[in-house]
Amino acid sequence: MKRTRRVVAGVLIIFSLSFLQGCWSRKEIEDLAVVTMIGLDRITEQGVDKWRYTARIMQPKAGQGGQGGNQQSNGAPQGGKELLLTGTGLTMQEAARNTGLRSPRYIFMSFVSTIVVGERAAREGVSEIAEIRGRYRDFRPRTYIAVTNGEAFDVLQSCPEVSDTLYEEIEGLADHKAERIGVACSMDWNYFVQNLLGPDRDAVAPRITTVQPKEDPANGVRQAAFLQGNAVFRGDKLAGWLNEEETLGYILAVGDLNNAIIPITLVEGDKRVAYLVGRFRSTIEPVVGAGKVSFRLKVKTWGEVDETHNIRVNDDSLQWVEAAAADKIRGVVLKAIDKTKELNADVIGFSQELHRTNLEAWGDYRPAWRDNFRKAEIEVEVECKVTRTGRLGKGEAFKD
Amino acid sequence: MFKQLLKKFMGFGGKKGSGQGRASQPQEKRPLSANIDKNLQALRETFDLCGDVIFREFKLNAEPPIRAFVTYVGTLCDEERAGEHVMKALMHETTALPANVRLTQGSALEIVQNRLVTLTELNTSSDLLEVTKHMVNGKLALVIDGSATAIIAGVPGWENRAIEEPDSEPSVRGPRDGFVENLTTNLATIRRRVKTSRLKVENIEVGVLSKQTVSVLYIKGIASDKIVAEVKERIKRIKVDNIIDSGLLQEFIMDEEITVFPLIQTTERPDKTAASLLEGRVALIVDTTPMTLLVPATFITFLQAAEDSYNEAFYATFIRLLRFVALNIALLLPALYIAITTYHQEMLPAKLLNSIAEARSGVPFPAFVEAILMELTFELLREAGTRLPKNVGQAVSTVGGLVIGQAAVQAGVVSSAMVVVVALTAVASFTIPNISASFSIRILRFSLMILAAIMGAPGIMLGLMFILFHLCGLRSFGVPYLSPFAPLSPSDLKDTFIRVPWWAMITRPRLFGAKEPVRQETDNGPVKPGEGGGSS
Repeated sequence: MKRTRRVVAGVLIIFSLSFLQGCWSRKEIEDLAVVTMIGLDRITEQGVDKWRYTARIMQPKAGQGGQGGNQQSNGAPQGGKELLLTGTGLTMQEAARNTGLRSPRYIFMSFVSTIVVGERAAREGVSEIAEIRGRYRDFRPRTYIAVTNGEAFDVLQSCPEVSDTLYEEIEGLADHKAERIGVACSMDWNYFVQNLLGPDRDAVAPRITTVQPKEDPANGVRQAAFLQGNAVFRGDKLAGWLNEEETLGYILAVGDLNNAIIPITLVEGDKRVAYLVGRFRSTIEPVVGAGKVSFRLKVKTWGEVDETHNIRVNDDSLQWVEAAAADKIRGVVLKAIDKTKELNADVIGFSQELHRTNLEAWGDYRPAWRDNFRKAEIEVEVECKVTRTGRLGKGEAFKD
Repeated sequence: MFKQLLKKFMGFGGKKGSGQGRASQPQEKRPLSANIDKNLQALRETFDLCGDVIFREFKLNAEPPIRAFVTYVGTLCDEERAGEHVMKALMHETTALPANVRLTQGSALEIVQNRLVTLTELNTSSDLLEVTKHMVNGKLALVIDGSATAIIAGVPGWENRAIEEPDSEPSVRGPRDGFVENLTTNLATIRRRVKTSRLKVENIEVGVLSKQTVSVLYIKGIASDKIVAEVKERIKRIKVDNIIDSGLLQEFIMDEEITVFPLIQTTERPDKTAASLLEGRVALIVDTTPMTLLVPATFITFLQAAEDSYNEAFYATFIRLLRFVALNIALLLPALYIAITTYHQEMLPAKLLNSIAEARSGVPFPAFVEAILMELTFELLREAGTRLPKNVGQAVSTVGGLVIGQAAVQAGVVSSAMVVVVALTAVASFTIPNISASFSIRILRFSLMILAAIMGAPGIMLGLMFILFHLCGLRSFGVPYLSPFAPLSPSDLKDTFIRVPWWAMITRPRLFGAKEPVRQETDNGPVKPGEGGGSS
C-alpha cells in the first residue's frame, strides 16, 4: 500500500514537471537553422576593424512531406539548397548575432563541418576563433578547420560541384581525399587547438582556395572551392604558407598513411616515370649531442611503378627507381623543413618528439625552442620500396 | 491505494481469501426421497421454466411393473446414445435377464447398474442438488421408484468446434492443432503428446453460481510440489459467480494486483503446453476455453514461439535475436524518434536531418503530437481490424492503413518520416509471439513517448529504469519474472536469446524443473559413422 502510494506520487510529480514553463530545451527539427559551414573574417568597415561572421545554413526544401500537390514523383529528397547569411560586429558575438538577424530559427551548430578562417583573421590571431567550442555547446570538436588566402566570405560563396552542398564537398576533401593525394593536410578543430596549446609544436591547417572552373561552363558553377597547400601558424598567428611541393614534403614528413595515392615524378634523360606512393611511415629521432640537439628524420615509403611505354621495369631499373624516388622525396621533405625553419614554426613536430623522448634535453631546449629548432641540424633519410610493378600484366608492344 | 479505490467504487469489502464476499451462497443438502412422485415433483420444480430439460416416465418390465423416469438437459446429451444404452436396455433387456435374477423395487437399482445400462461413465447420487449439478453438466439422471438414489449416466453430446490451427499462434513448422472449447478434447491432445501416467490431471471446480471445471496439469516428479500446491491453493481460494474464460481465472490467480506485464502465459497450442509441462511448469485448462494458462511464466517465455523449438538451432537463435530487436523497436522507436528530433538533433546524420526537416516542413504539429496522432490511428485500425468480421477486418486494416497513411501525409497532417516510424513499430510489434506481451509493450510505448516528449533521451532512460525496477520486482508463482537473467542462472541461458541444439539441452530450467533436473543423457549429440557411439 505504502509502496503503491509512493509510486503514484512519483509518477504525478514527474508528470507535473511537464507543465513547468521555460526549462524545456525542446526544439522541433524544422525550427533549426542547421549551420554547415562558418567563415570568419576580419574586415575594416568605415575605418573600424570588425569581425565578419558568415554561415552557410541548410535549407530544407519545403513541401516534401506536406502539400500533396507539389510532391515529387520520385519521392527522394532533392537535397535542399543552402542559405548564406553574414553579419558584422565589433566582437565575434555581435557578428554572430547579426548573422541571425534575418533568420527566425535557432542557430544549430552541431553540423558545422568546416570552419574557414580568412587570411587577415588568421594573421591577427586565431585564439578567439579557437574558443568557439566554449561559445556553442552543440559545437563538435571534430569540425574541420581551413584557412583561406583571402576572405572566408568568398570561399563560402562557392558552389558545390560534385555534391549537393558545399559542406559535403569540403568535408569529403578534408576527410580523406586531400591528404591521401598529398595536396593538403587534414586538420580538425580538436587537433588544431591541441597544437595551439601545446608548448612544443606549432599548428598547421589546410589552405582552402577558390577557382573558377573552366571545364563545363554550362553547369553554372561560377566558383568552386578546394583544398591545396598548408597554412603554417606561429603561436596563434598565421606565419605563412607552404606551396604545393612543400605541402607534399610536410605530409610525407609527418605522415603515417596506408592508402595514399601520391605520384612522384622521376626523370632521367627523356624517361619519365611515376613512382606511386601507396604507404609511408616517418619517424623522428632526436639526437642529443654535447649541448646541441639534432634530428634524424626517417621516411620509408612503399609504392608501385606503373608500366609505362618508355620504361620496362626490370631489376636494374627497379634499383634506379627506388634510388631516384628516395632522392626526390628527400629533396621535397628538405624543402618543407627549410620553409618551416624560414617561417620559424615547428609544424612537423621535431621539438615535440624531443619533449616526448628526452625530458632532460627538453629542459635546456625549451626556453628558446623555436630558435633551437631553427638552428638544429636535420638529417633526412629516405627509403623507398617498390612493392609491385604495375597493373598491366605485360606491357603493350607499341611500335617506335 | 487501489484497494481503497476498489472498495469505494466496487463495493468490495472483506479481506482477501476470507470467503466473506457476497458471492458465496450457503448450500444445504436435499436428499432424494424413496417416493418417485416426490422426486419427480422436486426435479420439475428445480427445472421450472427450463425448456431444454426433458423428463421421460416409463415402467420397468417387472412383476409388478416398477415406475421410473429419466431426465436430462436435452441440448447437452446425445439422445441416440441415451436411447440405445439407457432406454432400450431398461425396456427391452429386462426380459433377457437370467432366471435367478428377479427385478423388484428393492433390487432394481443394483440390477440396472450392473446388468442393464451399458455405459462406462456411471455414478449414483442421493442428493437432489448433486443430481441437478450433474444434469447441467450433460449427464442423464435415472430415478427408480422405491430408491432414494439416482443413477447418473454420462451421455455427453453437445456440438463442438473441430480442432483447427490456432489463429493467435500460427506456425509454419510444427503441429497444426489448437485447443478447442471442450475440456476433454483439449486434455486428449495433451495426453497424446505426454504419454505417461506421471501426467496428472486434477480437476477443481470453480464458481458458485455455475461450476466450471479447471484442470490442473503437471508432471509428477518434474513440476515443483510447492508450485503445484500454490496453484491449487490459489484456484480454490476463488469465490466467484462463474468463470467464463481462462482470462478471468488468470486475473484471480496472478501474483501482482496491478501490472501491465502478463504474469501468466496463455497459449492455444497443445504442443507448447506439453513442452512446458515437460519443463516442469503447470498448465491450467478451463472448460469451454481454448486458451490454456501456463505457470510460472517468465519474461523470456513471451518472446519464445513454439516454432523455435522445431526449427534449426541457428535459425531459431537468429529469429530470437531478431525478435528481441523487434521488441526494442516496438517499445522504443516512436519515443526515440520524438526524443531525437526534438532534443538530440545532433545524433542524426546531416542528410537524414535534412530529409526529416524537409518532410516535417509542412506539418503543423510538434513531433510528439504527430507521433501520438499516428500511433492512435494505428491502434484504432488494429482494434477495428480485430472487431470486424475476419474477412472484412483484414481489408479494412490494410486499406485503411495505406489510405490514411498516404492521405495524412499528402494532407500535411503528418510527415512521411513519422509514417515510416509507425509502420516499422507496427511490424515489429507483430513479431512478438504472445499477444498479452504485445499489449503491455503497446501500453508502455505510449508512456515512453510521453516521457520522451517531456525529457528527451533521459526521459526514455528514466522510463526504462522504472520498467526494469518493476520487472525485477515481479514474480510469477514465486519464480522471479526476469529469471534466468536476474537472478542469473547461466545454464538456463541456453533457451533464451539463443536456442542451443536439442542434444545440448541437458537440464531443465533451474527454477521450476529442479526436482528432476536432467532432461536427457549428456552424450546424445550426433555422431559420425565409425566415430565412437554405440558401445561407449
